[in-house]
Amino acid sequence: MRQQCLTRALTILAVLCFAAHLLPAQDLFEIKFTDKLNVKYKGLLVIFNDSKMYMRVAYNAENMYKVVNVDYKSEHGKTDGSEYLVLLGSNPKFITAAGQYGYNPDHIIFLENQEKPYLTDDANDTSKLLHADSFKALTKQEINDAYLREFYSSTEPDYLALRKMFGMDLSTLKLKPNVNTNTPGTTLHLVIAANTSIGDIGMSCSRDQSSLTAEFKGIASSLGIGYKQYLINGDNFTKAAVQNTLNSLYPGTNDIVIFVYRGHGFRWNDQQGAWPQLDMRSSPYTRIGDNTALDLDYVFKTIKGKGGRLNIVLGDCCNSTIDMPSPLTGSEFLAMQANNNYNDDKLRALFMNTKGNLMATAASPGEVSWANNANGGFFTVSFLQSLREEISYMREDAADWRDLINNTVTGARRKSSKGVCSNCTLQNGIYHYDVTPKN
Amino acid sequence: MCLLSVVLLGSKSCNSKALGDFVNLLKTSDKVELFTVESFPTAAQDQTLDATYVADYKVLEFIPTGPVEAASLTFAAVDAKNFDLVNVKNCPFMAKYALRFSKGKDRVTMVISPAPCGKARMIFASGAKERNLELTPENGLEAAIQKIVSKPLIK
Repeated sequence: MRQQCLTRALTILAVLCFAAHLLPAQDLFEIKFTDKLNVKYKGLLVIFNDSKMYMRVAYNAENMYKVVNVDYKSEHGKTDGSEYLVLLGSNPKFITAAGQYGYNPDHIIFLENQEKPYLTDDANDTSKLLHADSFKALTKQEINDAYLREFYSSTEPDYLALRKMFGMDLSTLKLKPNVNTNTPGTTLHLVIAANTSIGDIGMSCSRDQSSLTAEFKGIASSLGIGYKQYLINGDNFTKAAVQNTLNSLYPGTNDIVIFVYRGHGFRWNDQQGAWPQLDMRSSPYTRIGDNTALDLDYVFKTIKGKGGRLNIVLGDCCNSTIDMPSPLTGSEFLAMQANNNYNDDKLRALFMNTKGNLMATAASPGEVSWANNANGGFFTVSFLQSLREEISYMREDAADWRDLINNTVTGARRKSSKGVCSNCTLQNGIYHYDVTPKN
Repeated sequence: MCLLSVVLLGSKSCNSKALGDFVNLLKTSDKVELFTVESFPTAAQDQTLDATYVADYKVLEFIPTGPVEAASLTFAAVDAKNFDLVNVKNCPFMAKYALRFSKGKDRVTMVISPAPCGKARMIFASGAKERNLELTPENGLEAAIQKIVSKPLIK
């Protein structure tokens, strides 16, 4: 059977790798490949987030049908202008009987502009590099009970969760309510201020804006509630535009308000408060001053004062000091996104059965936060991954905002750690949490 | 394929072209000038005659450099190890230094925002689109500049 070793080269690659990868949560992919002995393998890749995924590999050997589970973590980066993604396999465990031979975990290498990945279990030996026969994201139509049973035994929790996720469990089937018929009067207001025009981070901000709007639109649709979005971006990315938007926001008492800032952030050199200043400039020619800087805490207090039931304010920006005093006086990471695979009960627990306020930002005072063009802001990507994980069928415990924001902070910290992003400095997000169950 | 050589051979020598075509101009420049500048550029219509501007940044001070220092600046400016080509920091660019490389009439200016928001902005006299670069946390470019600006003055 195929030789085992995690090579020095892949270790070097992992260190070289640049981090933050938008692998969507709870998505399923199928990969087929054939080894040099002409053994055919069929893999079901289940992705929770960039650091938590596994693949079930089914194949015939020793006159037996075998299924093995391999854990994966991803490393993403760019070298010589080309993007790559490597899924590093480890910890192989047989689900079926093992037989005489073990299984050496495959590392899966995705190259930019190549539809099918490469696989290897020995990166030191080029003769062992395989090109996959096929690779695809699985659609709901392609997944049925027989398909799942190729990879799972009938009592495994993930098998049962996937059955529910794909509507095979009749007890979970519900008619989708029309907007506002199930929860009258409830609207999700999504406000995004994204500096999409600025040269250095504009592309990553655009990417996050697209991910966030798709995600929350899908959530509102799944919950059967109203949805309004307010986008402040491009040339309209100004402090006045944010203030005007907040002024014109009138959430009802059962409404949800989500504000996400994606852009530059900083703190004045005499600032006391922990929350960053949002840099509302889309041109380097505009000087930083009172008319361009907006305190995230001000945004939070303003939204909180609007009286919505649940208010979430996120700032994916730096919190590092600039050499300027405050001008104010007394002032302190593939497809299937936003799919229909949400667990409605968990969504409802998170968005409909809670009240209160949550504010979080990507970095502690003095720290920078990170983004890349391929994936977006590490904090925003981690938030979306944590959100999808929190509301997935495959998670057994109850959906909870504190878990979600803890996982967001942890995920962003991991993405900025040296082992994942060799050039980054650690970002330790901070948050204020005041969310309780709705009576 | 470069990536495969990294994966298969552990080669790290794939970044030679990563910084783009401007590297040639920097490498072959016959004049390197170092300035301290204002944090923000000034639009052309707001610039005054009594001030000097480099790529629209008002010059605060011209810092003379010898041939060895100029060579160290050039070396640091073209060394791919000093730049992160993938990740960016979400902090505002606050210019402090400008390096102007000239070769005949051709000029390229590298404006530097130092740590903690280490970034560089390449501005081309030819009118080519400017390029934003991310400096690595302990890059040699800021170190080379710091070595020059912190040297004691001999009167």
